[in-house]
Amino acid sequence: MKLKLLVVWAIFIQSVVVHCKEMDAYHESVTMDVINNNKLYSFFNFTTIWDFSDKFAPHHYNLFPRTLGELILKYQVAELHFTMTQGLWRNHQWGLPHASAPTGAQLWVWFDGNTVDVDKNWIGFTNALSGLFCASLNFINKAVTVTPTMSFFPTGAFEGGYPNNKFLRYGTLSRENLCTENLTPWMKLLPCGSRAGPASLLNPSQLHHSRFLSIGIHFMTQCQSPDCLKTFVELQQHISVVFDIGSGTHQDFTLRSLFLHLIKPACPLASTSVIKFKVPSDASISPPIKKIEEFYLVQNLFELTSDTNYKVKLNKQHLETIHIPEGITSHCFPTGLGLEGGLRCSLVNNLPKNVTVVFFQVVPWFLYTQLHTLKLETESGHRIQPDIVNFAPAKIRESPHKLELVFMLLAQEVTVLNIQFTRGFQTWTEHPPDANHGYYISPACLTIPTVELGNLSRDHSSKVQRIFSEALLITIPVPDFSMPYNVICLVCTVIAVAFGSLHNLTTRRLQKVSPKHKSPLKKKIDWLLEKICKKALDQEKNPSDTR
Amino acid sequence: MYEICALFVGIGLRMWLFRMPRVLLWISSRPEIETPLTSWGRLIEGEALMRNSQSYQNKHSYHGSTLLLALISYLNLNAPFLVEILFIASDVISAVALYLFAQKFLRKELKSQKECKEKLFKGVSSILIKPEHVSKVPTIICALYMCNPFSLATCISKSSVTFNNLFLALFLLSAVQGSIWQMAFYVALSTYETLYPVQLLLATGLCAWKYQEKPSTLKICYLKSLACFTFWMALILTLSFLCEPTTSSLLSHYKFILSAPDQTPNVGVFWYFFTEVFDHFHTFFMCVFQINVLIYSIPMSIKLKSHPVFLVFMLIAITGIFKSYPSVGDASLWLCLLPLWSHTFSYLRYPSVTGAMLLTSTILCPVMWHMWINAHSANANFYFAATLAYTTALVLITTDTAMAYLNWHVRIREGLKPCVAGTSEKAVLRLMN
Repeated sequence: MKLKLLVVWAIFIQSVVVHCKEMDAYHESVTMDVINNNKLYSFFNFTTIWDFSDKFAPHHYNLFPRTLGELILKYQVAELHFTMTQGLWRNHQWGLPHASAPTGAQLWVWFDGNTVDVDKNWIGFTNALSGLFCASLNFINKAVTVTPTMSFFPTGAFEGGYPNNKFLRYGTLSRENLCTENLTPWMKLLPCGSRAGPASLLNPSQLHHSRFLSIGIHFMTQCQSPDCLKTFVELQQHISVVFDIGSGTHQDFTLRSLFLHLIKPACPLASTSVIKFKVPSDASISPPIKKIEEFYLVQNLFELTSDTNYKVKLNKQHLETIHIPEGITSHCFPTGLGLEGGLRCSLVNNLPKNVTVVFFQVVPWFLYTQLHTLKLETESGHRIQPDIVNFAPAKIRESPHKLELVFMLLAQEVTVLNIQFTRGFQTWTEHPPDANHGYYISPACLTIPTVELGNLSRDHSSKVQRIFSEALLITIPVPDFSMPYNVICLVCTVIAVAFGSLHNLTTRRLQKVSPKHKSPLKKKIDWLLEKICKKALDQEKNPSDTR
Repeated sequence: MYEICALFVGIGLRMWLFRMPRVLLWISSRPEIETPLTSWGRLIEGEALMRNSQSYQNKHSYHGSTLLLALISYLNLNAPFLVEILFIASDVISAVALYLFAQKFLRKELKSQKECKEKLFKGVSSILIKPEHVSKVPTIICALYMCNPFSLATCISKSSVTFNNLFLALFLLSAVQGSIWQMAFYVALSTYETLYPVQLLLATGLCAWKYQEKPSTLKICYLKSLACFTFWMALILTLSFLCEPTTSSLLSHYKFILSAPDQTPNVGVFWYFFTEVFDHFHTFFMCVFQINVLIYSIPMSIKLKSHPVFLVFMLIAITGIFKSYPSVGDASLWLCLLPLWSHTFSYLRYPSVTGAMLLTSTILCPVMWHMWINAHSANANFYFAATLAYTTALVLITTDTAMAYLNWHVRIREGLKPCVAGTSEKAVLRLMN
C-alpha cells in the first residue's frame, strides 16, 4: 500500500515537473547551394529554441548545452555572437552568405541591462569562451575591444534600453586560425553531437579542405509576439563551408566525395531535420527528392531509413558560369610605404539604387590613424559627404582606433574610402612571437539594410546584412630583440658620462697641482703594481724557494 | 647692419622653403625634427578631432598643450596664411631677443671685468673679453640662429619647439635685464608647454640677484620669483581650463611627457631604452631618467651662483639633451649661444672631435633611418647608434664648454701659466676636492 502511494506520488511529482518545464525544441538543417556550377556552399544550421516565461535562468538543462548556458548566466550575457572563420567570403562570386563572418575570430556581446561592470564581465567571458572553444580569445583585451555605436545592434530583444551601447563589446582577432580543435568542442554543444542528422556530415579534417570554413554561435532572446510580453531564447549554431566541386569534365559530386561521410537519419531529439538542395534545373539528384519548397529540393531526414549518399549530377554543357547578380562588394587594401601607411577601401554598388550603409573599421592603437586625412569619393572624383562620422582615436595601449561612418553609396558606382595612418612602435615584449609576420587590421564591416538587397540576400530573417572585407597585414618596424642588456648598458653609459663630468665639475674645484702630483688612488695602484712586480721578479730570481 | 642682413636672409630662406611641398613632406617625416609631442601633423589631427566630436574627451592623438591647439585652430579657421607668418615671426623675435641679450650680457661682463681689473693676474689680457666681442658676437649669434639648419628645419616643420625656443630666448633677454616678472612669465610659458623648464626658476632668482638695479638678498629674489611664477602659472592654467573645461587634457599632456608611452624614435635616449628595457624595471628607469633631467639644476645652481647666465645655458643644454622627446630644435638654441663663451674656446679640450662627432651623427641619422625603415637593409640598432652618437656629442660639447669656462675663470686670476704655490714649477689645473 505504502509502495503504491510512493509510486503515485513520484508520478505526480514527475508530471508537475514536466508540466513546469519550459518547452525547448531543436531544429537542424543543411542547405546545399551549387554556385556557378563549380562551388558547393553548404550551410549547416542547428537551432535550439527554449521557451522561457520570463528571464533566462534555467535550473535544468535539456537540449540547450549546459556549458554554454552556465557561462551566459554567470557573465550576464544578453546576446552572444561568436564566429571563427578560415578563408574569405567572395561576395562578387558567391553572392551573399546565410551568415556573414570576417576572417579570424569575431566576438560581439550585448550584456544584460543591469550588469554592474561590463568590462570585467567581458574579460571574464572572453577567457571562459577561449577555454570552451580552445581558441586564444583571451587575447581580446582592452587594447582590441571597441564599442561600436551604429553597427552591431541587438538582433533579438534587449532589455537595457534602446540601444544603450555601453553594454556592447566587440573584439576581433584576425590572426586566429580555425583548427579541428575548435570544431570538436563546438560539435559537442549539439544535442546529438555528430552522431545523427546533418551534423554527421561534419568531418573536421575534411572540412579544412574547403575554400571557406566558418563556424558560428549566436545566442539571443526573441520576442514571441509583437508586444514582447513573452520571449524565448534561441541558440543558433552555424557552419558555412564552400567546397570546390568536380573538375574538368565531371561536375558531379557526392556527399561522400566532399565530406567523406554519409548523411545519417535525423537526430531523434530534433523537431525538424531537413537537407535542402539548390541545383540548376537540369541537374539530377539520386536518390531523388520530390518535395520542392521555394527553389529548394527539401528532404526530411526523419524519412531516411539508413545512411544516404546523395549524388548530384550537373549538366556538363553548363560549363559557363551562371551569373550571380552582384549587390554590394567591399575590398580593402593597405597603402603607403615606409612609416606612412594608409587604408583604402573600394566599395562597389551594383544595385540600381542608392544605398545608405554603415562602415565600421577598427585599427590597432599603434597604427596612428589620422582623421583629417579621411577622404570619401567616387572613382570619378566626386566627393561624398558622410552623414555621420564617428571616430574615436586610440589611447596608447588601452583602446584601438574606431571609425564608423554613415554614408550613401551611389547607384552603379565605385566609392573609395581613404584614410592614412603612421606606423608606430611597440616595446619588445609587446611583439608577438613571429614579429616580422606583421599585424592584422581587422576586416571592415559594411552594414546594409536587408530591404535594400531584396532577393540577393540569402538570409531573410535578419534586418541587416553585413559584408566584411579582407583582413590587412601590416608590418611595423621591429626593434632588435637580442639587445635589451646592451641597450641598457649603452644608454646608461652615455648618461653616466654626463653625470660623471657634471658631478666632477660641481663637487670639485680647479686647483693648481704639480704635474708630478698623483691622486691618492693612483698612488695606491702604483704601490700595488710595484709590489706584484717585485714579487714576480723575486720568484724568478729564486726559483728554488718554491720547491 | 650685418644682423639685419642675417635676419632677412633667414626670413627669405624660410619663406622659400615653405613654398616647396616636397621639402615640407620630407621634413615632416623626419623623426629627428618631429616628435609626437611637438609635431604639426598631430596638432592638425587634434584640431580635426575637436571639430568632429565637439567634445574634449576625444583628443587622444594630440599630446601637446591646449592653448597652442586653441590658437592654431583659431588661426586655421580664420586666417590660414597667418600660421606660416606666425612661425617665421617667432624665429625672428627669438633671433632679435638673442641678439639683444648677447649684447647686454657681454657689455655687462666687460664692465664687471673692468671694475675687477685689480683682481686679475697680469698678462692675461689676451684671453679677456674685448670690445670686439661685444660688437661681433651678438651678430654671429643672430646669424647662427636664423641660418642654422636645425632651426630652419624646426621652423619649416611647424613644430612647437619654435615657440619653446622663443620663450627661452625672451627669458634670457629678461634675465640680463633683471626683471623678475618677465622672467617668471617666460618660465611659466615654457613650463606649460614642456614641463622641464621649471628648473629655470633656480636660475631666475640668481639672475635677478645679480642683474637687478636695486640690490636685494638672494632669499628675497627667490621668494619673489617663486611667487611671480606661481601667479603666471595659475593664470595660464586658468586660461587653458577656460578653453577646455576638463582637467584630463592638461594632466594627459604632462602624463605623456613624464611617462613617455610613445616609443617613436627620436634623437633622445628614451625611445630605444624603453623599447628594450625589461618590463619589471620600466617604472624604476622611467623615474631615474626623469630625475636625471632635473637633478643637475641644484648642484649647478650652487656651483655657478655668480654666473647665472652660464647656469641658464647649462640647464637649457641638459634639458635639451635628456628630455623625453627631444629634437634638433631643442639643441639649436643652446648651440647658437656657444659664441658667447668664445673667449674660453682656447681651453676646450677636444673641440674638433666633438664637432666632427656632431656633424657625422647628424648626417648619419637620416641615412640610417632610410636604411632601416625604407630599404630594410639595416635594423633599429643602426639608427640607435646614430642617435646615441649625437647625444654623446652634445653631452661632450656641454661638459667641455663648462670645463673651459671654469678653467678660464681660474686662469684670469692665476695667470696664463700658473705655477705651483711657492715654487716656479709649472702647474697643471685639475679638479680636486
